[in-house]
Amino acid sequence: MPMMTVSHDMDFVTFAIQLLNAVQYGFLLFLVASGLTLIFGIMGVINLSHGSFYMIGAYLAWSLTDLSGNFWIAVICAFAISVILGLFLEKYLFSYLYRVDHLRQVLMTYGLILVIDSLRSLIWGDDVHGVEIPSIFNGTIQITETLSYPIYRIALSAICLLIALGLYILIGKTKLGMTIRAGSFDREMTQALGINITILYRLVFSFGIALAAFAGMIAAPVSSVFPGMGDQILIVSFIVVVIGGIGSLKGAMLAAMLIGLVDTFGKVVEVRVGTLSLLPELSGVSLYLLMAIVLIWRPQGIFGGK
Amino acid sequence: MSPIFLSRVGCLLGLIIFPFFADQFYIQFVSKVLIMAILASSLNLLVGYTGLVSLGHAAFYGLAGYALAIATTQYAITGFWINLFVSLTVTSILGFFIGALVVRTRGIYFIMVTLAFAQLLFFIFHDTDIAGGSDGVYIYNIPQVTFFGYNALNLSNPTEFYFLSLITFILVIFSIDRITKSLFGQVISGIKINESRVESLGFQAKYYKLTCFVISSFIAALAGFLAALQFGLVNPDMLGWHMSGGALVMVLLGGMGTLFGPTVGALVMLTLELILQSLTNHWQIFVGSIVILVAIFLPNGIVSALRLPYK
Amino acid sequence: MTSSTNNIVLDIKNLSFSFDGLKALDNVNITCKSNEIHALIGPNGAGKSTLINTITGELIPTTGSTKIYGRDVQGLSKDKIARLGIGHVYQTTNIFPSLTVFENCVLAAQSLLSNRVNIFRGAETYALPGQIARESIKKVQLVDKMFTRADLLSHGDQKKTEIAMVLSSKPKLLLLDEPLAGMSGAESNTILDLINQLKESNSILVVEHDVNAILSIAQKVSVMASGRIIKFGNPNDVRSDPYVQRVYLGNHGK
Repeated sequence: MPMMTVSHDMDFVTFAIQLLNAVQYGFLLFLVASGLTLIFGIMGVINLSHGSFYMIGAYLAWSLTDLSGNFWIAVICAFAISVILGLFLEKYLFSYLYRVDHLRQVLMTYGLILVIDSLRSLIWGDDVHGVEIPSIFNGTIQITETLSYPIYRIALSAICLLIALGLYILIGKTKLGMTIRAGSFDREMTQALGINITILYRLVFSFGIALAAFAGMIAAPVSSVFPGMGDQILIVSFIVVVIGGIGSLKGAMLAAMLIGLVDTFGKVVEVRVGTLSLLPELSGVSLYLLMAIVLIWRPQGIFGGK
Repeated sequence: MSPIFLSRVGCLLGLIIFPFFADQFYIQFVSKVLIMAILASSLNLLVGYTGLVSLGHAAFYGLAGYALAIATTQYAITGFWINLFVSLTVTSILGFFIGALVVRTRGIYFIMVTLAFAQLLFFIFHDTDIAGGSDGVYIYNIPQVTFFGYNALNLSNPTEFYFLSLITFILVIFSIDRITKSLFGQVISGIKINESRVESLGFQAKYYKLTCFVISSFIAALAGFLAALQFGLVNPDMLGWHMSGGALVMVLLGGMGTLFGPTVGALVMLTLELILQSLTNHWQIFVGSIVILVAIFLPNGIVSALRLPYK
Repeated sequence: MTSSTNNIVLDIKNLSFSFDGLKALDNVNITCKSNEIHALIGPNGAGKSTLINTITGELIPTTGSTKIYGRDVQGLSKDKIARLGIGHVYQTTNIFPSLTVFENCVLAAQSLLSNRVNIFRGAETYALPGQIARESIKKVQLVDKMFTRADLLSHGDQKKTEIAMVLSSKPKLLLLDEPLAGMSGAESNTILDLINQLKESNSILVVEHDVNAILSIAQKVSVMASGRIIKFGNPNDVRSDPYVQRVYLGNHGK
């Protein structure tokens, strides 16, 4: 048996910085995955095009910042556009999916990915873009003489944390949230209580999509804006939902953080077995291994009901 | 003789004499259609007959291609049959292990988990240098088919490659027809309709699902092996989820749970792509719209809609 | 008639099942013998269906033992228990709706063949399943609708289809969960006659709300309330027991 060696050149400060990065990535994942898991859990719809809205959000943030010269104006406009887009798509496309099987949901939302991708290419082209960090957060915190951390990344985590708290209160503590949960358990009963399910579903859906788009917007200044970003985040969000359990916000948060940690530290820690290097070369694979392990242990996810 | 039998013989004769009259371009195109038809038919065993919606089937298609590429370039294995054997064995073994994990899940989970495992393989080939990373590998020495020491087919020749694809396609269709009409086939279609009932009648549903998954990955491997031979190139896109999605579209477009539906789907889809690509750079808009329209208006596929006798 | 223990098909001892802290089954003992109809009656929520589901392996009991022909089946999977000779006719009809009556039964009969069959051999080349299916369909008197799709049948005929299907898997113990529910009077009588005949070849445990009907054909009766067997005996004992009359027959008997 060859020796397994784990090595890293990390002192406490670098470790702390990587930890911050992991948490920030985890929060972004949560924003995307929470919409996905709510739409699964409440409407029973598998939406493959969810990642495309993340991409739309990033491209909107980029082009509107270019146009208006102000990132925050761009974000506000982009958010409004996403909500309207969500309402529109729910009414004319997705509402149809509530009545059909998963297979047709997969097919239709896959077609939507192709359409959105082509439209993106038509409108914005296929180039990679960057968005400048908004001026009020455009600074760094000096940690040691040689190490600093960008303020925007901290602000980003703070914004995500606020949204996560808001979601937790909305779904867990308010009457609206209870209605939403009731809707996911028993459509007929909720309707009998005089709640308009059609409107409720439309709101949840467009909100879920707007969350993904919003994640794309605020992520734009720290990651580049590029054509394949939707696919990438979609698949990682799927893993978050699978690990956390479908429909569980709590699970999505836990899984998003787990994946944030595994992904971030997988890229900086070196693991070798003999002469064969496992990490960081295979860091892209580590997420899937994590998922496989969780599935062997609990096929329905950590917080998933049977 | 029934009209169904006659029409099948007619199609077969057409496929046999076609390369003697057609352009090389079209011979290669039809070879590609046949290969995609094999892939879609293998997926149909899972989706159409057993009700297991896999969004990661390209993993087996791509892995078989990579097995061939690695064996010929890194281990200098040149024989056709030994390569075929290695490629199919490696893929089926992996199909068994992935299958054993995924058949534990149901519904939406099954869809997501198959997708995730395919992505796992995608990243293994994409991120490491075991086989050329994101660029993939060229297969310079295409193995030649020998039969008892004789050179039977020169696969660099498009017409001779076409016949290899055609023979494989016929064998695959014949096998799937037998499998779905066997006792095993009856049970998997029972699983599709009502899995819990199948179990309470005493069938071990997991065993049937796993067997089906392995058979299906084996057939997908045949398609991947042929595709790698045809293009002389493998890259991570072969395992990517757009490949799986494309195969799923073919199955549904043609008609899932029908013997020739996936073939019809592959033919229609590839022809559409060929035409649209020559017209516009943004042809995906039309493909995507067609997929959406099919999902809404043609859920049972072309074969059922036209009541074609190809069930 | 032998009185040896060999004819004990199902033997449940001290079975308990808790769900969310609620004791759904509390120290239940039940025995089913071959050629005998054992009726299980009791008010709604008494735990009758829960008991059936612990026998079939759908639920795993908290404590106690379930033996089929002396073999402990606790923790075995649903399909394994079914292969030991348990046939389950569900409360809500559970069949293959898009198949014909005949196809439903043939599929069930195929469970008698080995799991490891030749995947290239046509299903129609096996004579046995078709033969068994025909016999079962004849038993439930559904020959005229043999080739009708099950979802096009009336509720009564669907129930008969399910019974025929389960019979096709040749069970030794038949679990019938409210077979008379939703049946017209005539249909009810046919099913009752059928159950009575099946006794010749099977051991039967039947849950039923129509107490008078089921007591007319049963040999043994267990009365359940709040997860416990409160009375066990032959139909006459049970009918005359004052305690049973008060808690159950008094309210529900006709």
